[in-house]
Amino acid sequence: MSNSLLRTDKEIEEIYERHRMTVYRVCFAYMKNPMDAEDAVQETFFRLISKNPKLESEEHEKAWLIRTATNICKDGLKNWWRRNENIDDHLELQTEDTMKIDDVFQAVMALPDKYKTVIYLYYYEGYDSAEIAGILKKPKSTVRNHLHEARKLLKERLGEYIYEE
Amino acid sequence: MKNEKIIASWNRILPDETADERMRSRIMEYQHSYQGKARVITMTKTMKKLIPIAACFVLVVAAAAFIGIRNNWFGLKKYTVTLDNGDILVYGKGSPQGEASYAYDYEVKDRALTANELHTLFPSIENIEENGLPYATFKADTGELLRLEMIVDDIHIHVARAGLPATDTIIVGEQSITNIKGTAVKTGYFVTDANSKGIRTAIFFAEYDMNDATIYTELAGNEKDSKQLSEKLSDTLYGMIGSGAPDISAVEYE
Repeated sequence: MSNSLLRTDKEIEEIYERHRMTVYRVCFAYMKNPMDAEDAVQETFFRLISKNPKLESEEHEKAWLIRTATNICKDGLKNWWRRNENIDDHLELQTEDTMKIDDVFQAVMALPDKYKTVIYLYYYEGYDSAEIAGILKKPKSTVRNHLHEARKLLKERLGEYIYEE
Repeated sequence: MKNEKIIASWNRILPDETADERMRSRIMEYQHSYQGKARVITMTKTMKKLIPIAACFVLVVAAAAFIGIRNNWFGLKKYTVTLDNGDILVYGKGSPQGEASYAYDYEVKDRALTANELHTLFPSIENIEENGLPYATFKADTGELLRLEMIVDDIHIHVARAGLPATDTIIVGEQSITNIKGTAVKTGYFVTDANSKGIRTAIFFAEYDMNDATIYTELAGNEKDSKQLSEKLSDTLYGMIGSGAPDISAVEYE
């Protein structure tokens, strides 16, 4: 995909269709409520349109969207009031939707922000630490360390509920 | 997969249909607005690159036009002369395209005019007889004056009874018509090819009808002196029109 030519409507729709769930889940893990997650998803795709990056494959596309969504969410969370928000404040809103937030996901959302994407990519998307390092453009050792810390925290909160094959 | 429960937990995180549709439509809306904006940005960038080139081009064209007009490269130069009463005579460029016929279908006779007759015809022109007394053409049976040609201070003056050609030269090109003291005057000029010395001759002319006469005046000279030529002809013309129509009925063949 060329950087000089804007993507067509069809291309944008296809990319949205392919990755909307991934992007939404990453955003939700950070923003902790559907409305802000929705805004972050939109902003992620707005950047895809405006920056028009050259993306070689669907995997590259996905990695770019995850990294961008993560950055957007982190920026959004810099607001002082949001840093003090609690997931419980949004439970009512969430139960009105089709989503059911269980203990596992609550534990994931309660993780420090720097661990959330790593956990998502590792557990849900099935990437190994080297791949995650490539996607997030972080050193492998940092990713391994984040994974280790995140698993430790999840284990503390969920007991043996969390395990690895 | 490392943990089915975590996967199942994440799977529950999804936007409802309304939110999904809302995000999709906003993203596509942004896509459409950005496409329009990007086109403008692209044009602006392109235009920015072209601005210095365009500016240089405009400068070169303007300079060429300025020099060309001053030197009459394009043959478009007009000469304007403001008369004492504020009227403006404009001489646009034309070119001779043929000859008018002086042939008459009746018998004519010629004779030289007297100084008195000349003064009667042109009271505003002093020393009109200095260049000699011109011959005039009269209708043989009635003796009425048909036409005459004379040169006064290098200005050729042709007078013809209305309906007859005042000059044998037909000029085609831009001719301006200006009202001077209520008289419509047709003016213009043309330039001959360069002679063996490379000099081109500019010929300024003015023609007007007054009462029963058509008066044609012409002044020729070096093209480089065009401005002076146009001014001199205009001054003479202004005096001639100011003194009224030449009374050609006052001069008869006797």
